[in-house]
Amino acid sequence: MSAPASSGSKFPRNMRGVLGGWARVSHANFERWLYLMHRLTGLVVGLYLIAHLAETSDIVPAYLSGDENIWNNLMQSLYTPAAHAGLLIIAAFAVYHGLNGVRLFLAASGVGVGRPIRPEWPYAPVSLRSFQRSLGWLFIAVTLILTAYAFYELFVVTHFV
Amino acid sequence: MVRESTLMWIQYITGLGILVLGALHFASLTLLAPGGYPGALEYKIVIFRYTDPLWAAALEAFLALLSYHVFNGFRVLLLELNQGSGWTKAVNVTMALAAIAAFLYGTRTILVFHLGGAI
Repeated sequence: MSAPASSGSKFPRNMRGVLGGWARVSHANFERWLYLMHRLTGLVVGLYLIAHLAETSDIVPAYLSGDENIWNNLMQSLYTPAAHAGLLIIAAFAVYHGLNGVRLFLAASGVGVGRPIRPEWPYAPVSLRSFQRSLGWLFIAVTLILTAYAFYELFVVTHFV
Repeated sequence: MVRESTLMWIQYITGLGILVLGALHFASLTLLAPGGYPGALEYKIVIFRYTDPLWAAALEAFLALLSYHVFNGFRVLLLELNQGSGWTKAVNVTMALAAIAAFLYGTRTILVFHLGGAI
């Protein structure tokens, strides 16, 4: 069933296994959800970067020709609740990905994962009872606060004032 | 060949840089813009962000860090999807080229304001 380790052009297919792994969250703990969200947010924000580079390059013909309408027309077409809802998601995802990335950097550096202990019943990993978990919740709270601020800027200031 | 652990540390370091410059980028679109977000999109303000040397340097650094971080992140995701030396090589090369292309494309937008339309 499983394909042999390969070299060359014939690759073993493992997409279901990996994607299934991402989506298999029925017994996921808190850190597992953070991992899934880190992957999803990174993917979405990364793809947005490509679109954002294309979008902002519209300033070049406007600047070179001196016709600021080229830029203003683009901004006007994106000045809609739907586009702003998309930006709100991007802002929330970017903040989450950044803060959770700090948590991962600290974990990789051995910060907040607890000291090793002798394995004793109920064998709960020290790392899951340590500062790292608190940090996860703290960063989620900060993400929600900054997302609320992004909502204020993207919706309250632009559409309701 | 660069070791995966080295690439991952660069991923963390670029990530920390992106956190700082990303905060500045968000602030430039909200708190630091006259009139908040709608004001940040005004033509004159956008032109100022690109022509001011400090803002332009910050944007360029942000772009450089993001080009590495995003496409190395995509590389990690793609290498998880499949295994094999051919696949690994193809993903490595494609993502490196994509990162360079994204960096050059974004750099052009910034440099036009300093070198003119020749670029």
